[in-house]
Amino acid sequence: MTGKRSSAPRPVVLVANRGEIARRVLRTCRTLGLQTIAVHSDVDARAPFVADADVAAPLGGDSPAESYLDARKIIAAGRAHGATMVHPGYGFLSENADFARAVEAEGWIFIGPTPENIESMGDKTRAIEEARGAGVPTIRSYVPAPGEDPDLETLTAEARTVGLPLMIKAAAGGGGKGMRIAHREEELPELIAAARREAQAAFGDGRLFLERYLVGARHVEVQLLGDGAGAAIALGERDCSLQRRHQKLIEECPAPGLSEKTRRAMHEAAVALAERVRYRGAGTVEFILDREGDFHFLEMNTRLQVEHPVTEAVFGLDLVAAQFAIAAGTIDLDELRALSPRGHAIELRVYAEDPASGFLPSIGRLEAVCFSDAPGIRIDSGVITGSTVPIEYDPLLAKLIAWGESREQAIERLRAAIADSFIAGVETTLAFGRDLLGREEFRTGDVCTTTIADRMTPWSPPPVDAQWHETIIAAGRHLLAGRRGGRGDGPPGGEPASPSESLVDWRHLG
Amino acid sequence: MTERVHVDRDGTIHVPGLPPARILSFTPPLLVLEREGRIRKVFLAPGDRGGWFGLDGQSFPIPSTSGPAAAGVGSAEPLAGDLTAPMPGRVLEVLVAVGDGVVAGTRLLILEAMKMETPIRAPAAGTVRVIHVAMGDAVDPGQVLIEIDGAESS
Repeated sequence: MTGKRSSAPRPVVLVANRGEIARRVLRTCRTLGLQTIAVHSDVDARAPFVADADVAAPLGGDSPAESYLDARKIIAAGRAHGATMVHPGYGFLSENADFARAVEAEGWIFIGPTPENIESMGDKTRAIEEARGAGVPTIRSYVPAPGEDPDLETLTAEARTVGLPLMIKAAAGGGGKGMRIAHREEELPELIAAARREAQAAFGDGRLFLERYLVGARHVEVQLLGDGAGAAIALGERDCSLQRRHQKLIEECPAPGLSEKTRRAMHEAAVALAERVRYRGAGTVEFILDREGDFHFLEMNTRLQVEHPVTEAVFGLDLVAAQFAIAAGTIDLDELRALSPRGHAIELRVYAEDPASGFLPSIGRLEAVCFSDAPGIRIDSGVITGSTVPIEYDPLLAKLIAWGESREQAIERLRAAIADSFIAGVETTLAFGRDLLGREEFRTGDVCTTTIADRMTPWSPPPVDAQWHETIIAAGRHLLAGRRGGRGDGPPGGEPASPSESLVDWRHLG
Repeated sequence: MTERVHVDRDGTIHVPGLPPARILSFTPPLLVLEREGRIRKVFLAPGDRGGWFGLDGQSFPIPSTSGPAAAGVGSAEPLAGDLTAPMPGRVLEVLVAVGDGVVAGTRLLILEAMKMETPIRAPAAGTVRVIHVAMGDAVDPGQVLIEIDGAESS
């Protein structure tokens, strides 16, 4: 290691994540000319995101705990390959203050908030206190004092004060885990016990708090960027009301049907909170918008959101690049504040789940993956044909994002893009999303967080036109004979799929 | 030729009771079909059990033609002459009885899966020996539905 060296080390970004978000981050790294390291578990060794990086660093193991959640292994991989920055994506270690500290202790840059930011917002009960301190409206709730873990008796008594229906939530919560809705008092003991078990298993922390549940409410969130020095800006809001199991499925920017007054008040509240905690990086403040049009603080996510592309589409900027600019101290918030939103964007999350059976995960090998490439369509995908969907991780495969001059155009583009996309081998949320986007309640914006549960459950795919069904099957068998799959894979010159069905070479057709 | 679904050398698809359809093109995975001037675009992909077709974002299984002519080599394959369910579903209708003579293409029963009705047809000529399912039964993929005698691979 002799010779002249520049004063600053050449930046090398370790992406501590997998799937579509790892690819998303790596894409921006490439455009910024940054060297990259992909860490991966054994089961992900051949995943597309690994191929997108300059260096692949195996972590070993398959479970999250022995791979993407193992901070020691990730730091070791960074040392071995000369990392100077770490981007955590979302989920996994993205909101883990100890991990952010460990990265900084190496002298590397953590592409995200400060450990203190993560701590003040990561504990949901502390976040509510911060929100109140910033003058942000919160929901009527029972929040135990810091470090306190009230028993069943206390929680049941406090539930009467909060009022029913109410939401039981995990203090360390996120991703819908440790969350229960209680409608009647006698349900409380069972639901509290279940929420506690789930929170303990998911976060290693069974502390709970209670929040009044607002029926028919929408979920609207504000995208923030903070410079870490006390200044922050809002980059529009997103409506994420369409959820199943408290997890988002469709998101859009801007939120439809919001009055300018409410919109501005929401943005101002989110910025006030971010400035109060001297927030650094990209973050999101989530609100519940009740039927009266009043909004209430829900939580703050101290990371990039899954649904960040709809904001990017409408504001015409790269939020990951903005994260790097904040880390480098080169962000100009005033310049970004002047950006004006244009048009409308909608995202569908494509999960490997079966909407016809209550969104049960559907695992297997993807026999085909292809997406629309129509104008106004963006695809953020973590999979390709031949990928397997492992049981170990979140079943998000891809995101389809449509931009349009108007909301109507965005809807039509997204519906058309879904029809032009094909994933075979597992069940997905594609057709469900297309159905939902075409419904009257979505077109008029008459949706809330329980719309899917209330109006689309149970669900089954639209039936195939009987005139075509057998024809398609016949054509399929004919054309697929001799291709992958045990049935047609006979020796060369072997029997075709059926003795009297001739094997024409499809390449010569048309 | 018996009345059954078949595809000619030139890509014409014959389905009993329907005008012929044509395969206009197949640039995997996109398949373009035409019947009486109407175009139908679907996606097509091979799979372990037959394959898949895709329509409006939904993928549907293409059940493999079970039975002697199409049975694979794997040891897990059912015996020749056994007709198995290609996918999870429900028996909508049983169209034959034990002792019935069948020819290749005879509709034996109708399975309903994912709101679609899929006819299960005899792969070759033979006699229905055993019927393992009845109307309304739920079936799992690979479950034996019907056994046919005289349909052993020749």
